[in-house]
Amino acid sequence: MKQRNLYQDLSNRLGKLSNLPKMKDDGKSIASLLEEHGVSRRDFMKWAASMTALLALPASFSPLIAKAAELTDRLPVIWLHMAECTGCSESLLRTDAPTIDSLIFDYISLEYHETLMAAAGWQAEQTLEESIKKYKGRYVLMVEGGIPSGKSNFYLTVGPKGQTGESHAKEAADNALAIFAIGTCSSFGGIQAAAPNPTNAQPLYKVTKKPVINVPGCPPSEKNIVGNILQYILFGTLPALDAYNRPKWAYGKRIHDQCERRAHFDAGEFIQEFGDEGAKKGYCLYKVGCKGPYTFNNCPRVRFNQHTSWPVQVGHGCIGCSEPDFWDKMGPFEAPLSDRLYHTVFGGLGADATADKIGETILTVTALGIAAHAAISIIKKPKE
Amino acid sequence: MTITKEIIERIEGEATLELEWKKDKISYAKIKFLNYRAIEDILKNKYLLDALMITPRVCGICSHAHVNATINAIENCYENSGVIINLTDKAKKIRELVMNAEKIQSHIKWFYFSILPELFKIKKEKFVLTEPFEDKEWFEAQNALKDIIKMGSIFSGQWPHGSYVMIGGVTCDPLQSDISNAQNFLSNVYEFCEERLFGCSINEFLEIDSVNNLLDSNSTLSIAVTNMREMEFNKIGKSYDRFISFGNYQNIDIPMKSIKTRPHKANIKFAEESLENSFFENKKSAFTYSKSAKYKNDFYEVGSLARLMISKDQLIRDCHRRCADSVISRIIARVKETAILLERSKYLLETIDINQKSLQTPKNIKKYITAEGMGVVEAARGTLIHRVHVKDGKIMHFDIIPPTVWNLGNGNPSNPSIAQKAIIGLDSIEKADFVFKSFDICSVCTTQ
Repeated sequence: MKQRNLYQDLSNRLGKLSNLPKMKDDGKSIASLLEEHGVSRRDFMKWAASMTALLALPASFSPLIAKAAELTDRLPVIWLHMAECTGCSESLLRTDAPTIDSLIFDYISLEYHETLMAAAGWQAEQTLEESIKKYKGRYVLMVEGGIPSGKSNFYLTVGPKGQTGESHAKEAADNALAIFAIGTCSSFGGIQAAAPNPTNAQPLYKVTKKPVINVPGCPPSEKNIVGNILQYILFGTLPALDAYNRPKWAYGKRIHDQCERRAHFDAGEFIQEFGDEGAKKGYCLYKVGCKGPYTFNNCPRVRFNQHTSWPVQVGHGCIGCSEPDFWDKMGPFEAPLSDRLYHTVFGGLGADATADKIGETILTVTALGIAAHAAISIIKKPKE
Repeated sequence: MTITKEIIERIEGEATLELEWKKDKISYAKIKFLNYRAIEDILKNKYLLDALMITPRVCGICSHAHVNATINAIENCYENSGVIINLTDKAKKIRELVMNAEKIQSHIKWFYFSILPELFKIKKEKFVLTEPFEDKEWFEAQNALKDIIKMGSIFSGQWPHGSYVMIGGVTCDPLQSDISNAQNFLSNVYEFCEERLFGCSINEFLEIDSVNNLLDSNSTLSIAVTNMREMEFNKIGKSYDRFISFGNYQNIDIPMKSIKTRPHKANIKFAEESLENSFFENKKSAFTYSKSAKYKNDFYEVGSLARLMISKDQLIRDCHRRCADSVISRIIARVKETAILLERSKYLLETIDINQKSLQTPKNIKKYITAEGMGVVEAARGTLIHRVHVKDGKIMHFDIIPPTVWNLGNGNPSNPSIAQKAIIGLDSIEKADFVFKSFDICSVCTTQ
């Protein structure tokens, strides 16, 4: 019953949205755009079904997701680059295009995206200013990159007026309807914020007072980026978030719990060092530094580059890239975290010390359990 | 004298060109990169192997080049302290293959999304149908990029920022089905390039040895070159006609330089970074975060054109005879290299022996060493050098010399850098922008 009510509510919301004017008035709809580029209705519905599952909605909601995707052009989006490597844009926009994800993303009025935009220089600056004014309080802001802040803000200046990145981001955030920090850099500071943080790089949420939804990952997968937009269109509210403001539908579970190598962990079958017999057999990577047990993300399910692969699949452990300050807390990356459990400021627990799903006590037990399990397996004879 | 400032967009990051004009001609150009993340400082005091995670994050478009340069530097550290590193043929091939995927991706992306739109803008005419989100060829180019990246990520796990290399080899252990998948993706890219970019089969394209023959076909490349010749682009963008390449490239495995068409041996110990004009020098006249790289105090060009000049490629030699090191040569060289890399990747996939070991951990390997090492690779934009000094397993000093500091650094009016020299003398902002982009700008690598 509850489910039906939700379905009805969402339908009503989408109905209202579809009455809004489109951002672009070129007579093209997303459906016709997709069709033009060889994406059949059937492919599109399959994609909608997978996004539905990803967003943890019942399968019967697929038609709503499809409808939401078709209505994405009612939403103005502004994308800003701060101190970063453009990897997040690459992950989404240019490498995987033209997947349905990226087509939709491009089609939704991407009012301002520096790497892609046809306008340049002064013109681009003007476009940004106009977009902020025109859609004041109505646009979705996506920011990629950490932000050199305070007295160090001069480490990043953008645009012909030489504005600092910090003031740019602040201004765009102040007038936004919803704000997404795309990638670990804008979510948590990222690589430039690693010790000793020479440029005082800060995450987006530290430079604005408004709520920021974090979509971390280095880079985050394209599905996690687009999923957030769909979710927003569907519900019109912020998604359920964890303690680090990450949407729970994407970051609610540990890598470890969804990992394809998990069975080997449970069986005590570990790679002892890179290149050994266990590595050839695809054993668990924990002892060569995998941070999957401490990292909340959906990589094993969605993978990268259109579901081609992900680091654990090619025999390298997870480095914990979607956790706050993982550069400082998760290193050394090629050794298990348990080796230094009691030697760090966070009691060795690193990121999951505050992960909200699991109580701190239970987690301590888990972490100890994992460490103990790994230790026991050394004594245990490897299976023939 | 007037000064104009141009913000260069649609590149990785952002750059500013400050142009000085005398009688409607550019008399001097300052290239400014105003973003800085201090990756070299962040690497200090980190564990040696952690550099394998950190350096790829320098750049989202050439992350595999960085991770390969780093592993070369780390292995070099061990070799310098007496450890013998033995890579299997398989490991070497996989490393090269993943780098090739990244380079092919970079070349196609640059040609379709950076060069062609600029040409349309200057010519005020769309001479090939590659309009973003409109034309079929644009979508096909996007598809080709996606496929070549997928070919690489089968072995690297993800792109950008894959972690798949380790001391002694690679971590992945592909099955025959993975190889077949990769071959499948590669053949899609072949199809696109043969049909659109080259206008003939790759074998035929590789045999073309003169620009005139190149123009016979009706390919996107030849249409672009014809148009550039009409606009007299064979006269713009010329620099010093000096080229250098330090990494392995095809049949060349020693550092080489080429002054005009004469190749000579080079020695990497003379490659050095200068802080001139950068904020690091702490002078009032400083204006950028980018350093500049020189060889014995001279600027040299790096990249596809440099590599093909050094390896005496017939087509590029012919092109050089006609247009010297102008933008036309630079563009043809990158497309030609795309074909070479595709053919090489096909060969690599056919000859990988999956029964060999992916990784052989060297004997007597100590975790915490004290040593110095250097890693060099040829990235899409040119030579990339990583130098590391490690003490008791921790990084004391890490120096990254990316290709873009060779091409896009700043000299001074009496000794301008490669890109500055190419821009000085031009008569319009559009041309300056185009010549600048012909080096393929990446501000995030340049400043790190």
